[in-house]
Amino acid sequence: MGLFDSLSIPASGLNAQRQRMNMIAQNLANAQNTRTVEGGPYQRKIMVLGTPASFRAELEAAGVEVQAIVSDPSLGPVIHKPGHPDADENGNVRLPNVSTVEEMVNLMAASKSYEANLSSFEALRSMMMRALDIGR
Amino acid sequence: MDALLGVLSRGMDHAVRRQTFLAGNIANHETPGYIRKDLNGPSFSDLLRGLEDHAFKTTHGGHQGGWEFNPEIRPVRVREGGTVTLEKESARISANSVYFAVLTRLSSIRGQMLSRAITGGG
Repeated sequence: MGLFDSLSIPASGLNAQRQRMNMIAQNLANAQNTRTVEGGPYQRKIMVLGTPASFRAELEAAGVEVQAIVSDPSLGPVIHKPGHPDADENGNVRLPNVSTVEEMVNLMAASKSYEANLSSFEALRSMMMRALDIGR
Repeated sequence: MDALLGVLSRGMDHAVRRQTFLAGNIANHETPGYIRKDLNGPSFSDLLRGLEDHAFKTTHGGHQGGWEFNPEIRPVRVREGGTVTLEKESARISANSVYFAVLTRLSSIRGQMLSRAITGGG
Protein backbone atom coordinates (compact mmCIF):
# COMPACT_ATOMS: atom_id res chain seq x y z
CA MET A 1 0.00 0.00 0.00
CA GLY A 2 1.47 3.30 -1.05
CA LEU A 3 1.53 6.50 0.93
CA PHE A 4 -1.36 8.03 -1.01
CA ASP A 5 -3.55 4.91 -1.00
CA SER A 6 -3.26 4.82 2.77
CA LEU A 7 -5.82 7.62 3.10
CA SER A 8 -8.43 5.24 1.69
CA ILE A 9 -8.49 3.41 5.04
CA PRO A 10 -9.75 6.24 7.26
CA ALA A 11 -11.90 7.33 4.28
CA SER A 12 -13.63 3.93 4.32
CA GLY A 13 -14.37 4.42 8.01
CA LEU A 14 -15.76 7.91 7.40
CA ASN A 15 -17.98 6.60 4.62
CA ALA A 16 -19.31 3.71 6.73
CA GLN A 17 -20.10 5.95 9.70
CA ARG A 18 -21.84 8.54 7.54
CA GLN A 19 -24.02 5.80 6.03
CA ARG A 20 -24.77 4.64 9.55
CA MET A 21 -25.91 8.15 10.51
CA ASN A 22 -28.16 8.26 7.42
CA MET A 23 -29.69 4.94 8.46
CA ILE A 24 -30.30 6.17 12.03
CA ALA A 25 -31.93 9.32 10.66
CA GLN A 26 -34.22 7.09 8.58
CA ASN A 27 -35.12 5.03 11.67
CA LEU A 28 -35.96 8.18 13.62
CA ALA A 29 -37.97 9.68 10.77
CA ASN A 30 -40.05 6.51 10.57
CA ALA A 31 -40.55 6.05 14.32
CA GLN A 32 -44.34 6.46 13.97
CA ASN A 33 -44.76 5.02 10.46
CA THR A 34 -47.45 2.30 10.48
CA ARG A 35 -47.81 1.96 6.70
CA THR A 36 -44.77 0.84 4.73
CA VAL A 37 -44.54 -0.27 1.10
CA GLU A 38 -44.02 -3.87 2.31
CA GLY A 39 -47.09 -3.53 4.52
CA GLY A 40 -47.26 -3.28 8.31
CA PRO A 41 -45.34 -0.93 10.59
CA TYR A 42 -41.80 0.20 9.79
CA GLN A 43 -39.04 -2.13 10.95
CA ARG A 44 -35.86 -0.45 12.20
CA LYS A 45 -32.78 -0.98 10.05
CA ILE A 46 -29.52 -2.46 11.36
CA MET A 47 -26.13 -2.06 9.69
CA VAL A 48 -23.63 -4.92 9.22
CA LEU A 49 -20.03 -3.71 9.02
CA GLY A 50 -17.26 -5.92 7.66
CA THR A 51 -13.80 -5.95 6.12
CA PRO A 52 -13.97 -5.71 2.33
CA ALA A 53 -12.47 -8.53 0.27
CA SER A 54 -9.97 -6.14 -1.31
CA PHE A 55 -8.35 -5.59 2.10
CA ARG A 56 -8.23 -9.18 3.27
CA ALA A 57 -4.52 -9.78 2.74
CA GLU A 58 -2.92 -10.94 5.96
CA LEU A 59 -0.19 -8.30 6.03
CA GLU A 60 -2.34 -5.41 4.92
CA ALA A 61 -4.05 -2.80 6.98
CA ALA A 62 -7.80 -3.19 6.65
CA GLY A 63 -10.51 -0.70 5.80
CA VAL A 64 -14.19 -1.20 6.51
CA GLU A 65 -17.35 -1.32 4.43
CA VAL A 66 -21.11 -1.56 4.93
CA GLN A 67 -21.88 -5.15 3.94
CA ALA A 68 -25.62 -5.13 4.52
CA ILE A 69 -28.48 -3.13 5.94
CA VAL A 70 -31.09 -5.49 7.37
CA SER A 71 -34.45 -5.06 9.04
CA ASP A 72 -34.85 -5.84 12.72
CA PRO A 73 -37.78 -8.32 12.78
CA SER A 74 -38.67 -7.79 16.44
CA LEU A 75 -42.19 -6.50 17.16
CA GLY A 76 -42.87 -2.95 18.21
CA PRO A 77 -45.19 -1.81 21.01
CA VAL A 78 -48.99 -2.00 20.71
CA ILE A 79 -51.16 0.97 21.61
CA HIS A 80 -54.91 1.05 22.03
CA LYS A 81 -56.33 3.57 19.53
CA PRO A 82 -59.71 2.43 18.17
CA GLY A 83 -60.15 5.34 15.73
CA HIS A 84 -56.86 4.67 13.94
CA PRO A 85 -57.24 3.42 10.32
CA ASP A 86 -54.61 0.69 10.97
CA ALA A 87 -56.22 -0.55 14.19
CA ASP A 88 -57.25 -4.24 14.35
CA GLU A 89 -60.74 -5.39 15.43
CA ASN A 90 -59.83 -4.81 19.10
CA GLY A 91 -58.74 -1.24 18.39
CA ASN A 92 -55.00 -2.01 18.81
CA VAL A 93 -52.31 -0.48 16.60
CA ARG A 94 -48.85 -2.02 16.19
CA LEU A 95 -46.17 0.70 16.14
CA PRO A 96 -42.67 0.43 14.62
CA ASN A 97 -39.93 -1.19 16.77
CA VAL A 98 -37.94 2.06 16.80
CA SER A 99 -36.74 3.18 20.22
CA THR A 100 -35.86 6.86 20.04
CA VAL A 101 -33.45 6.63 22.97
CA GLU A 102 -31.60 3.69 21.44
CA GLU A 103 -31.32 5.44 18.08
CA MET A 104 -29.98 8.61 19.69
CA VAL A 105 -27.33 6.61 21.55
CA ASN A 106 -26.34 4.92 18.29
CA LEU A 107 -26.24 8.31 16.59
CA MET A 108 -23.80 9.57 19.21
CA ALA A 109 -21.63 6.48 18.80
CA ALA A 110 -21.61 6.91 15.01
CA SER A 111 -20.71 10.57 15.31
CA LYS A 112 -17.82 9.80 17.67
CA SER A 113 -16.58 7.04 15.36
CA TYR A 114 -16.70 9.51 12.49
CA GLU A 115 -14.56 11.94 14.50
CA ALA A 116 -12.07 9.20 15.38
CA ASN A 117 -11.69 8.30 11.71
CA LEU A 118 -11.34 11.97 10.85
CA SER A 119 -8.49 12.43 13.29
CA SER A 120 -6.65 9.35 11.99
CA PHE A 121 -7.13 10.78 8.47
CA GLU A 122 -5.66 14.06 9.66
CA ALA A 123 -2.71 12.28 11.31
CA LEU A 124 -1.84 10.49 8.05
CA ARG A 125 -2.24 13.67 6.03
CA SER A 126 0.04 15.66 8.32
CA MET A 127 2.66 12.91 8.06
CA MET A 128 2.59 13.31 4.30
CA MET A 129 2.93 17.08 4.55
CA ARG A 130 5.81 16.67 6.97
CA ALA A 131 7.55 14.32 4.56
CA LEU A 132 7.36 17.10 1.96
CA ASP A 133 9.28 19.38 4.32
CA ILE A 134 12.31 17.10 4.64
CA GLY A 135 15.40 19.09 3.70
CA ARG A 136 13.83 22.48 4.17
CA MET B 1 23.57 6.70 0.52
CA ASP B 2 24.55 8.31 3.76
CA ALA B 3 24.13 5.66 6.44
CA LEU B 4 22.18 7.81 8.86
CA LEU B 5 19.78 9.00 6.16
CA GLY B 6 19.27 5.36 5.19
CA VAL B 7 18.37 4.44 8.74
CA LEU B 8 16.06 7.43 9.10
CA SER B 9 14.20 6.71 5.86
CA ARG B 10 13.68 3.11 6.98
CA GLY B 11 12.27 4.41 10.22
CA MET B 12 9.92 6.80 8.42
CA ASP B 13 8.81 4.04 6.07
CA HIS B 14 7.92 1.93 9.08
CA ALA B 15 6.08 4.78 10.80
CA VAL B 16 3.89 5.44 7.75
CA ARG B 17 3.05 1.76 7.36
CA ARG B 18 2.24 1.49 11.03
CA GLN B 19 -0.01 4.52 10.77
CA THR B 20 -2.10 2.80 8.07
CA PHE B 21 -2.54 -0.23 10.36
CA LEU B 22 -3.66 2.00 13.22
CA ALA B 23 -6.07 3.83 10.89
CA GLY B 24 -7.46 0.42 9.86
CA ASN B 25 -8.01 -0.46 13.52
CA ILE B 26 -10.02 2.71 14.05
CA ALA B 27 -12.03 2.15 10.85
CA ASN B 28 -12.84 -1.38 12.05
CA HIS B 29 -13.44 -0.72 15.73
CA GLU B 30 -17.10 -1.65 15.31
CA THR B 31 -16.61 -4.56 12.92
CA PRO B 32 -17.78 -7.77 14.63
CA GLY B 33 -14.94 -10.21 15.27
CA TYR B 34 -12.22 -7.81 14.15
CA ILE B 35 -8.88 -8.29 15.89
CA ARG B 36 -6.53 -5.33 15.98
CA LYS B 37 -3.44 -5.35 13.79
CA ASP B 38 -0.16 -3.66 14.41
CA LEU B 39 3.35 -3.60 13.02
CA ASN B 40 6.26 -4.80 15.07
CA GLY B 41 9.18 -2.60 14.36
CA PRO B 42 12.49 -1.31 15.48
CA SER B 43 12.51 1.27 18.22
CA PHE B 44 14.65 4.33 17.67
CA SER B 45 17.48 2.78 19.66
CA ASP B 46 17.23 -0.35 17.50
CA LEU B 47 17.63 1.86 14.45
CA LEU B 48 20.76 3.44 15.88
CA ARG B 49 22.16 0.09 16.94
CA GLY B 50 21.59 -1.08 13.36
CA LEU B 51 23.57 1.94 12.25
CA GLU B 52 26.49 1.01 14.50
CA ASP B 53 26.40 -2.62 13.41
CA HIS B 54 26.28 -1.96 9.73
CA ALA B 55 27.61 1.43 8.89
CA PHE B 56 31.25 1.35 9.84
CA LYS B 57 32.09 -2.30 9.41
CA THR B 58 35.23 -3.30 7.52
CA THR B 59 35.45 -7.03 6.96
CA HIS B 60 38.59 -6.99 4.84
CA GLY B 61 41.92 -5.21 5.19
CA GLY B 62 41.46 -3.53 1.82
CA HIS B 63 38.12 -2.01 2.75
CA GLN B 64 37.78 1.63 3.44
CA GLY B 65 35.48 2.59 6.25
CA GLY B 66 32.17 1.24 5.11
CA TRP B 67 29.27 3.52 4.36
CA GLU B 68 27.20 0.70 3.00
CA PHE B 69 24.09 0.16 5.03
CA ASN B 70 22.45 -3.16 4.59
CA PRO B 71 19.36 -3.11 6.73
CA GLU B 72 17.94 -6.26 8.20
CA ILE B 73 15.68 -4.38 10.54
CA ARG B 74 12.87 -3.87 8.07
CA PRO B 75 9.67 -4.42 10.03
CA VAL B 76 7.11 -6.76 8.54
CA ARG B 77 5.84 -8.92 11.34
CA VAL B 78 2.26 -8.17 12.14
CA ARG B 79 1.34 -8.45 15.75
CA GLU B 80 -2.29 -9.18 16.38
CA GLY B 81 -4.37 -9.52 19.47
CA GLY B 82 -7.19 -8.02 21.39
CA THR B 83 -10.08 -5.84 20.47
CA VAL B 84 -9.80 -2.21 19.42
CA THR B 85 -9.99 0.48 22.08
CA LEU B 86 -10.47 3.90 20.51
CA GLU B 87 -8.49 5.73 23.17
CA LYS B 88 -5.52 3.38 22.94
CA GLU B 89 -5.48 3.54 19.16
CA SER B 90 -5.61 7.35 19.26
CA ALA B 91 -2.72 7.39 21.71
CA ARG B 92 -0.72 5.11 19.43
CA ILE B 93 -1.49 7.34 16.45
CA SER B 94 -0.29 10.43 18.32
CA ALA B 95 2.88 8.72 19.48
CA ASN B 96 3.57 7.44 15.99
CA SER B 97 3.06 10.93 14.50
CA VAL B 98 5.55 12.41 16.93
CA TYR B 99 8.02 9.63 16.17
CA PHE B 100 7.65 10.39 12.46
CA ALA B 101 8.14 14.10 13.11
CA VAL B 102 11.36 13.38 15.00
CA LEU B 103 12.69 11.31 12.10
CA THR B 104 11.84 13.94 9.49
CA ARG B 105 13.48 16.64 11.61
CA LEU B 106 16.62 14.51 11.99
CA SER B 107 16.67 13.90 8.24
CA SER B 108 16.52 17.63 7.57
CA ILE B 109 19.32 18.31 10.05
CA ARG B 110 21.45 15.56 8.55
CA GLY B 111 20.82 17.03 5.09
CA GLN B 112 21.94 20.45 6.29
CA MET B 113 25.07 18.94 7.83
CA LEU B 114 25.95 17.22 4.58
CA SER B 115 25.47 20.32 2.46
CA ARG B 116 27.56 22.33 4.91
CA ALA B 117 30.31 19.74 4.65
CA ILE B 118 30.11 19.91 0.87
CA THR B 119 30.27 23.67 0.68
CA GLY B 120 32.82 23.94 3.45
CA GLY B 121 30.45 25.80 5.71
CA GLY B 122 29.90 28.61 3.23
